[in-house]
Amino acid sequence: MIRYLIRNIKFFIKDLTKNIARALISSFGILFLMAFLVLYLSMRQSVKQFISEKLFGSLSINEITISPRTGSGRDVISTAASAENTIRPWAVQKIRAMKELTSVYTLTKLNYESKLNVDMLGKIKTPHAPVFGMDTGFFSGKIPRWEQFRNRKVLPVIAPKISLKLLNNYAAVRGLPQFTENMLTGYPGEIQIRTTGYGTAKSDEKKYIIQAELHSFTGDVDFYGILLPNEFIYDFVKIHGGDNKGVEGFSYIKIFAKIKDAKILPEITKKISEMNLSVESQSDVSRKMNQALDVIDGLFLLIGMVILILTILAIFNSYLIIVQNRSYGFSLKRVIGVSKFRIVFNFIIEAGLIGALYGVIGFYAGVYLTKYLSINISTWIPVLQGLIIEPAGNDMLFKAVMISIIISSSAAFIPAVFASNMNLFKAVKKVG
Amino acid sequence: MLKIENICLSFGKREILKNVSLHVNEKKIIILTGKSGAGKSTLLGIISGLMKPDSGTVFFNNQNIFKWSDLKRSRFRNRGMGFVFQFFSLFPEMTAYDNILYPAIFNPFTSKNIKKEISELVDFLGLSGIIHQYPSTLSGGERQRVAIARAIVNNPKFILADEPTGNLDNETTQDIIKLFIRLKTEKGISTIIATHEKKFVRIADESYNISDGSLTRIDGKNYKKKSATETQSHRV
Repeated sequence: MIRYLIRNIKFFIKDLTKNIARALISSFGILFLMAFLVLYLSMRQSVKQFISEKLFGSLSINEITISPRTGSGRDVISTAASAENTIRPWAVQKIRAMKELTSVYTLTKLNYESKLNVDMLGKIKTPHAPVFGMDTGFFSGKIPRWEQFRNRKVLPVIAPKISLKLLNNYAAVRGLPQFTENMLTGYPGEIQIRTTGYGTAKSDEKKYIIQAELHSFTGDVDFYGILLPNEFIYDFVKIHGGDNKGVEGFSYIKIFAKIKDAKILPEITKKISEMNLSVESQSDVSRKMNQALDVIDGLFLLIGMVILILTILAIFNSYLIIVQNRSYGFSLKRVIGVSKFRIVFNFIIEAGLIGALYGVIGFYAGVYLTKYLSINISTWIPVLQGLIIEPAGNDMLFKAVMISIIISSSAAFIPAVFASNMNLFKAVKKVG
Repeated sequence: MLKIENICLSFGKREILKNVSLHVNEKKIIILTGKSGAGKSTLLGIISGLMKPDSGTVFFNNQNIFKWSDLKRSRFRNRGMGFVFQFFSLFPEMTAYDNILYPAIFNPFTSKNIKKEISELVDFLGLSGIIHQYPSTLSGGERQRVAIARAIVNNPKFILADEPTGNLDNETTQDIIKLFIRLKTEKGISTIIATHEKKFVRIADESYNISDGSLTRIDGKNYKKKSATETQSHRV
């Protein structure tokens, strides 16, 4: 019996190797499907995290965020966009005076050209770095040593968390080790602020260099640049604001506050909206986040379903053609005494093995695609700057292989049944 | 051994076989003649269990083969009978040896000395020297002998041969005819041959003609004389 089994397995493998090229071509679509699946799952998770961390921030239940309304009237949810429109100082004063609110903190933006002079992995880089300001108290309990985030001789700088990820991406590409927040704390740099505008004569140009060091990273505020204590912003504008009278030294771009009683949120929202400002609360954020995720999920699911159906149809069709091409062989096998079950079984095993192979290749293709996309997506779609897509882990490999086997085998099932049910005696007689 | 009883089969309105009955005993050569499309191959298809009749049945050792499962009928084809076709029907991608071995792979009772048995079979059929060649490199007679070797590798009780010499020259036809006689006398294998070749009637134990779906027995001697006269008049 063992000899019989070995003989059969040997012949099955022989048979498979003969047909492998044809079978591989017919099931090629699975590779794309698997790659897409891996990419989809990786993206879904990363996009969800991106939306939750970067766009919406992490607000507590009684916290609200007040932003200016954009020209189109849509609520602004990203600082990058709201920087174009500002909250007027009188509105800030009014909000600060509201008794229903507590812990009112303002996010400001310095309206001068600013650059950061920093030694980045052995190279001196001077990128443009918009300067934002935040009240010290905002970070109470949110970051370590928050009380040291004050205007002092060596200015503390808070960087967005995304910059650490970007730096680590940059390091990974160059084969350097990954950095942690602690490793970078205290890292020195210089901030260059030019108060005079473009076109000013070189002799009249006013440029200030401020020594700074990295204080920490934050994901609590959405900004693209560096964050300094508001005390510094106010003092700097007070001292140097006269250099360029045509420019308002700083602007308020966002206000964070807590409502003493969450029940009065609609009332507060109404009051603030009357100042032509928009109010975001945690419930709005979560609703919008879910809506965004639903759209993304639905879109990916739709594309996934279409690809799945097309793949199955393509494989099914290819297998039908294979069955036609191999009808002589199948007929002959039936005549020689191979049972219907065995023909179906062998065909499905063949399809399953091909599926498994494509599952593995598709998985790694998907991981590669994800990595490629992660590096390039912000170049293609600037709004997604900061989106880091983590490729699916190896635990996904098993799932990908199983799904691939199931798809390939099920697409091959009906053609296999056709193969086992052909008018065999006639087929053999006719085909020479 | 093999009883075919009251087989009827129609394709649409066309009646292919009408109440066909036939008994095949051991060590017999049975010839089925008839025009093209008369139903000879269909009858072989039914005997093998690959085609199902509208009515009637086939008994092998008193068992109705159409009451068997597909698996059992497949085993019956694998171990109980062998097939020989006009166009040889070999696997083109396999060597002659692998073609001969192929039915033995699906037979759990294949002896462990199968290589030796095939070697003896190869000698018996005069196939030594070409056994590792592919069918495309063999002559028609060699291919047909490989097909016969494959048909008898599992020591079947009978062979179904559908126009086995239809694609061969006269000399090779004579060789194949002699081979069927040797299979009967030396190995005890019965053969049912569907053919146009009148030469087969000379060696037949029983001859039948299928016409209009009916099977009629032919008087061997008269048929031989008649066919000889026909051949003579053709020559004149």
